[in-house]
Amino acid sequence: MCKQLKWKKVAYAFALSLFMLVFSFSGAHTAQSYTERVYVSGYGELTVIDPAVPKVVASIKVKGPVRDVSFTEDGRTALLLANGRTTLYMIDTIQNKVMEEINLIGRTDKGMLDRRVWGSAISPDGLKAYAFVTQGEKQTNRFKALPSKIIEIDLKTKEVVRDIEAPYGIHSLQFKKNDPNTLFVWGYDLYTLHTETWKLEKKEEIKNRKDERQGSTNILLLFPRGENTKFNSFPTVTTYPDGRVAEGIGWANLETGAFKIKDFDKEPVGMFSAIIDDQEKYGYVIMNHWYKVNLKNGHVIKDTKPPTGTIYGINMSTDSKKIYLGGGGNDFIVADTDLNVEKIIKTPTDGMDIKVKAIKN
Amino acid sequence: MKENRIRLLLLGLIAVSAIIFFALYWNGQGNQTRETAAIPPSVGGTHVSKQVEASCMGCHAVDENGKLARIEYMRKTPEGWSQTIARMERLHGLKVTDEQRKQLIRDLSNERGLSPEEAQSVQYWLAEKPSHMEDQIKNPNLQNACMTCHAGGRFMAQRRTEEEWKNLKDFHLVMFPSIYLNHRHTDWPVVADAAINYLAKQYPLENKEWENWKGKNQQVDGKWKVVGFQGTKGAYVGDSEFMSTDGKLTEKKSVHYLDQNVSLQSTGNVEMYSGYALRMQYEQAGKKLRGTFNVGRDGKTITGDWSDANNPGITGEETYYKVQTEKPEIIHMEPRAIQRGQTQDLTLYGMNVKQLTAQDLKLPAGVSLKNMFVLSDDQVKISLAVDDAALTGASIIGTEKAIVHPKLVVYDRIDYIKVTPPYAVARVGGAGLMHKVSTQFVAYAYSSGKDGKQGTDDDIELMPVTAEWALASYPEGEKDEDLHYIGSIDSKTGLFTPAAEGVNKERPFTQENVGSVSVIAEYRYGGNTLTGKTHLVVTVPDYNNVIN
Repeated sequence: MCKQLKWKKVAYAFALSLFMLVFSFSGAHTAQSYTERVYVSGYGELTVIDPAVPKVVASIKVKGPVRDVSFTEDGRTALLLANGRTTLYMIDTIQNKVMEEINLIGRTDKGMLDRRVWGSAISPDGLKAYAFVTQGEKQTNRFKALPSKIIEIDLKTKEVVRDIEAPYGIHSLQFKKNDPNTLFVWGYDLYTLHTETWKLEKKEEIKNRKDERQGSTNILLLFPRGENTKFNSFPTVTTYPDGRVAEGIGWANLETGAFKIKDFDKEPVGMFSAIIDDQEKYGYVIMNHWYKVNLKNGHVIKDTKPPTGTIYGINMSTDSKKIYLGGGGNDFIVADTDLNVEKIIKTPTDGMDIKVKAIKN
Repeated sequence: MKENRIRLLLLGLIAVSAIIFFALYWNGQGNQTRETAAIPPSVGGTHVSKQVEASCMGCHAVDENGKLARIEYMRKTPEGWSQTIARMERLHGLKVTDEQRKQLIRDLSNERGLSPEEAQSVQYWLAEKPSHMEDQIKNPNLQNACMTCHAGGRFMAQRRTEEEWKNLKDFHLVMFPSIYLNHRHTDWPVVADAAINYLAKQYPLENKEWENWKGKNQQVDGKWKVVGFQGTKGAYVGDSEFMSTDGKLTEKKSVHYLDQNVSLQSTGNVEMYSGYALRMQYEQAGKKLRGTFNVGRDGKTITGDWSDANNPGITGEETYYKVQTEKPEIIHMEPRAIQRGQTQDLTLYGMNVKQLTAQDLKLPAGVSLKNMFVLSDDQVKISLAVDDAALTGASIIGTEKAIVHPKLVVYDRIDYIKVTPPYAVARVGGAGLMHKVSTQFVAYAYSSGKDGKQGTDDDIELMPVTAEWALASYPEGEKDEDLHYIGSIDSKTGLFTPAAEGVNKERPFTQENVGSVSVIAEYRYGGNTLTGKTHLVVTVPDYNNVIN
């Protein structure tokens, strides 16, 4: 009897060990290595959603409408822009609360220095923030436009420590993947800012191409992507020398900087944001229409209408299995990659965009 | 010794005199210089007015040219100055009472206004004429830098120095930095520079018409005859009297709508700006109306527009004629177009018509006066016979003995109808702070003219006609969803009334009651039905142009 019991114990222990081994090598443990959250840039708040349920788990209150949102590499800290593009907020994404508020309005010897941010990024280690600012001096009875710049902010002291003049039209900053010293600077064209040498260089002609045969492309980068994947993606509109205007999707590999555009095989309808899968096989774009696109040839595989009317922001789950929609209304939508809607929930406020981030546990 | 003392005394006196003289001289010169610097080349040493000095000099100090910074480098309409003051209150901490605000607008318009000719070119803008299409402004830089957001009237209603036009660029870049992104189809700063160069040349501060006009004041006190036209209600005639009491101008007006046989009375306060620009606030049958009028150079006419303060889409065009007793003066005739081969009765409206004789009218070839019957000193009925070969077209029929303002039109037949406005914009409203903006559609009968072809230069506009009105989907055959939500058109009058603003929960995607439709007019004529069509866009309230 005792011997039987002993063998049973051994068998249980063996089974448990086997299970633990299988579990360890199965990859299932990775589901617990991060927590996926969706961030909706709302009005007066950053709305935090657990997309797995889905449900709203927090409302982080800030001033005014939220615009840019960027994350540290581990996702535990976010930098967001709000308050009429004048204030950056550091957010603790674990506790869902504001850690710091950085106001960029200042003074000059002649008046007030008005700075508005059009693209911001937190460094992967969370020590610095970078922002493209348009600047103006509000003198006693007139306004004086000052050169637009990219500024570097020490997040400990909240002081601007360096700046560099940058061309107007910039609206998105992103760190190169696996390179904390290089920022991709998206404007009319693509630039890189090297933080060690503090030099801004043009990397890719997009709007102002020397080779006119390639046309002039406008990109709407109010909704940059790449927090969770290695691709930034966006809708494009290209005007060709023969007068043809084509709508398409553009994407850039944030590890290599490789940049591609593929025109759709449909007449332009106006799109706001885009996401592609990690295999560079399919793209998804949205506003008043919602497309699934073959990235090899630009063929629109499926053209449907967003389920709740106009939608601004499209994004993708960390595992590339789900499509998330939000912004342009107060709905958050989960769909599959064939554009079938699975769930819709309401968000507390109207929204602009949605970001997806895998936060390291 | 004594002589030496006297010499010394004299020398001393001369020296003292010289010192006093030079001291006084230099003192006087110094004072003169200071006074020159202190007194600017403005009226009586006052910068625009005491009120402007009191309210504006805190920020707009006297500059090195002896002028109030910025203010004395531009000219604007009363509406333009009103917008400026509203912006100063909203953004820059200006605190003024309602009376002080009115005084500021008055003073700035009088001292730094537009000439009558300059203002006339933007009357449509000042009166906020609904669905008005501006003449095409061909300058591509203006189109790309300014007109992507503003109507041309916004800049055409201003005059500035080159530096002040340039200041506008900085103003936009600082206040609205998203302008780069909104205009990413172009290089806005470059295009804006080119546009500003054009504006500085086209609309400079200095202008002889204004310099000659400034300081003059039209006198409008007294009686006037009025003729007007309101789409959907037709023509009207009437009488008006302006009265000045304790420096305040008021107006009493009575008009009679001819088609409807309805009379309306209105009374209200009138402000005169820049010596000719009349702005009225009326009460008419329980409605508040606002008037935007200009007195003509000769002081004998007033022209302009009125609109319903609570529905700016309800408007009318009006002309006043100063009452005189010297000779007959016809201000309106009904109908204004007569057909060849027929004898037709016309009613002429005006003043002193009892003095009118057949010889006072110069009728076109083939048209003869058969009968004249005076109804009153304001109205006369005439009967005109038009033979088959009468000359078609519009003719001036007045002479030295009788002033006749409308032209008499002779036509062969009505070939088609045209609907105005050619591109209509109505605005939802009425549920909250924003007013509805209705659209008054009018169908006009046309003759194709001598060439018999519709839409060519010799076509003749004949008169407004009574049509039946309906809405249809746009484009034709497309979804008709918009028709259910945007509002309705009165089938008898052509008045389109938009629905309320805000989200409509009954509508798919909870959209607002906006949309786009065709407006169809059908006019029965000689056994045929003539059809006219136009496009109506029903859009959101005009939040952008709310001033106060």
